[in-house]
Amino acid sequence: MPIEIILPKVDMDMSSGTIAGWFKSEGEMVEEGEALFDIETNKATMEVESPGTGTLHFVSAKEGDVVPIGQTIAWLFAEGEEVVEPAGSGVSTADTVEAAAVESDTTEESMVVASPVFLSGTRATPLARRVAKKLNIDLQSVGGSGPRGRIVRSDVEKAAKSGTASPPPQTITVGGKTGAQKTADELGLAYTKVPVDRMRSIIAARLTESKSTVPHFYLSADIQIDRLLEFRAQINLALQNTDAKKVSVNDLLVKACAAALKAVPEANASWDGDSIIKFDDAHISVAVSIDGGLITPVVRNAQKKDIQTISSEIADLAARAKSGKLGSKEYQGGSFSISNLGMFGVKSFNAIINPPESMILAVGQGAAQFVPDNEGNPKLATVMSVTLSCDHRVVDGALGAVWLKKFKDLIENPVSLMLN
Amino acid sequence: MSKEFDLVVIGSGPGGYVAAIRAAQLGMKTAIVEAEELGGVCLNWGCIPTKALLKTADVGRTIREAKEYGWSSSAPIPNLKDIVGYSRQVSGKLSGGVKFLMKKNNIAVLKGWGTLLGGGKLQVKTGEKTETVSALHIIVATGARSRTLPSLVPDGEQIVTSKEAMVPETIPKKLLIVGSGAIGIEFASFYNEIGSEVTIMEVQDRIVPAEDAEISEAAMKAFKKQGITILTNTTYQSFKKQTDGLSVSYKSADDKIETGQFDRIISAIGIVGNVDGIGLENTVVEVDPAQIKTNEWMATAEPGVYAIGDVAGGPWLAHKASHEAITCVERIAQLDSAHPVDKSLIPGCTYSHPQIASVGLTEAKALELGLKIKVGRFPFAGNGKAIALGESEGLIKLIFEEGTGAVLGAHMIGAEVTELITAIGVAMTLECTEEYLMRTIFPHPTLSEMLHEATLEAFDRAIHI
Repeated sequence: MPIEIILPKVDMDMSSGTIAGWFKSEGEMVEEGEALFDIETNKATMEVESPGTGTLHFVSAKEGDVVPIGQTIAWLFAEGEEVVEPAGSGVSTADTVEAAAVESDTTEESMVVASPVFLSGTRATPLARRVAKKLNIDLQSVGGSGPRGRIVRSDVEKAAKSGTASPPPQTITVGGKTGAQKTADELGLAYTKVPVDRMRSIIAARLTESKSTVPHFYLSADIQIDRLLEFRAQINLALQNTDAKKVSVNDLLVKACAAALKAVPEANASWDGDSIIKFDDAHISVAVSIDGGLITPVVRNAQKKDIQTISSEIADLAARAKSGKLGSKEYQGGSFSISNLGMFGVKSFNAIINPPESMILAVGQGAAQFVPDNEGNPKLATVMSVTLSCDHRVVDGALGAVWLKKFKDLIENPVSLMLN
Repeated sequence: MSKEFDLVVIGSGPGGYVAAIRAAQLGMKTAIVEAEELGGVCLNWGCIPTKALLKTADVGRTIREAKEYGWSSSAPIPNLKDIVGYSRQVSGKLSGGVKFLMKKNNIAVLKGWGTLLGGGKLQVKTGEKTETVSALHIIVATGARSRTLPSLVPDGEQIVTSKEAMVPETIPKKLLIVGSGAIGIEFASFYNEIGSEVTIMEVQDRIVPAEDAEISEAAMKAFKKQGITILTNTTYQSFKKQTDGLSVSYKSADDKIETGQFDRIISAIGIVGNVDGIGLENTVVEVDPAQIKTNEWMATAEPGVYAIGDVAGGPWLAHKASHEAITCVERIAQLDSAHPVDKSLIPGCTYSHPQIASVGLTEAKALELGLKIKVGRFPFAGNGKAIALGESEGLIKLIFEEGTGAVLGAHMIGAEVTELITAIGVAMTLECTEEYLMRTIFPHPTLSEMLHEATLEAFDRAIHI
């Protein structure tokens, strides 16, 4: 029997993946465990190993094809085995699968062009899928209460009622044009049309959901960072003749966020519909800009880690994020986010909460400023503006303020960051 | 030292024994308390023995109709003692089966009457002997018994409830059945076949009033054709014992008091929970008025005390009790898979001839809820297998929600519909839309093809009609 090679699910969120490239070609001999092809999901590129040994045949998905998970994309034939195309070969790409599903629907209401997220990746009953289409809800924004998280009709209806659901990510309507394109065409403006990729559509869906369903409020503070800079200089001086990498200001800010969450544990929590999930540990998501978007790898249990450990973990996560080699668990399950645009000269900004987290700290540039000293005389200081965005369902104004004060105290008295 | 258990179940019916087995599977030290035979009413005095009786009626009918199928035979004669004997034998076998299951799962069977003492303690009384056991969790699964009217108090001979009605010593010549729910209808079917002249009296405007109105109508037609007298909109009033039987007076549909002569009455007006004498007063368990109040996880107001099955309220069905047992025990064990019983998905079955089965909303209920529906029907007369079986009387009726294609309800009357209903139960549980029922390949020739056809018919696509 030939061995079937399917597109595996390598990421919790994925319903389909793009073939990023084959390491082996038609007719080539493959050993079990050898790298066979790369899958690109919305967040990362993963190498898929061969499930067996044999000759590769009937490769039906080529580089760049979008394939639903579970789809057979090639076959391996053992030595001496007759090479005949087995049943069930051939790729249906995401588009054709969707088209088939639409065609076979029997009611008029379901003749809506659905986005790819309606594909098989989400576990949902046929009825839940149809109700989601009718209500224009993205199944990925609905929690499932059925066996092993299967989404049932009542989950969709509840989500629609409570407003926790988001509409499906925008896709280009077949034969239609979106508003921007229509206007541009009418006015004869020149443009280039770039199809929205998976990452962009996920970013769009997540942040639209966050900004439109999470009640945000913002707390800003100016923090003097001269002592922090001096502290950092001392640490790096101590590391000078070692192999260790230098510690960045951002590393120290992550450490301070974790320490502040440890001191104010009520703020280390997530809204979960009928309950609030309070995390035992501080899991800090660090926004990393990557080609085509951004990703937020998580420094796990950061309050328990020393500055050097945090520093080297961030370096490793960021490097792997940029090369698309993060595992899905490495960017999920954060309890707090930090986003730093100081290096671009940004003074201050308000960030959108990264759901289901409840807070995100937006960090601006540290700049020289005159501030009054104890006698009221101007003193030159390096001042950094930070803005904390809070989910009011979990974090009230006073609680956010307590956290921010703790954070400020830690930064202005950085030696306390050495204490665990 | 009293015995200590993780879980003690009071009552060994289809609620109780299932709870005990599931608990044992999950590693709990479990005991079950039973004052009578293992298996409860279901196995001993309900579901099972009546199915055995109805099987004997089917055999009689087959012989009676043999000529139509090319066989000659003399008219069948019911031997009542052997008919009842067959039924008791079946019950005995199954009760023995439960005993085996208790042993296999290391469940302690405490023979005796269980009384809650409060504080996780329980007294089990056998004759003069009493013992006290303690348990972290106690499940009350004491079931229910026939409800009786003050004007129709059973004497066990002429006025009987279902329990006596399934072990008759003589065949009544003229039998009155008060109440036309599943129990009343099944006895009507059985006694009619063994030769009684049967009258069904129903206070509502139709028999099997819990079913879809169209099914009630079809049932009425079928039973009348078999010679059963049906009095609807009729209220039983009283009876007088006479030398040659019973004189029964009732208020007829046109509000007149009339009388009728019968020699036996089966009271089948519903059932009532067994809440007395089990020590509920020693707890804060709430009872209203003859059923124990629980939440969706079957927990009562008393911590550590749960109630399942008939004693926890309707529908009074064995399979509902068994499912509540699983819900309750898995919740106690804090399993992630624990889920409350969805009462909208409990099928109901009546094993008369013809059989009646349903699940979900009736057409009237769906409309009352303001739902937009599509109804599909398919008659047995259009199904090849039904005709070959000589069972061309019956109807499959499916109700879908317009727009979503959700299956809202299924209502059936005819041969083997009590088996067919499960397919729709699965479809509803998995939230199939009409599309998936249409895509399902039904084998030919089967009665189940009617489910396919009724689905197609709801969307104006039926093939064989």
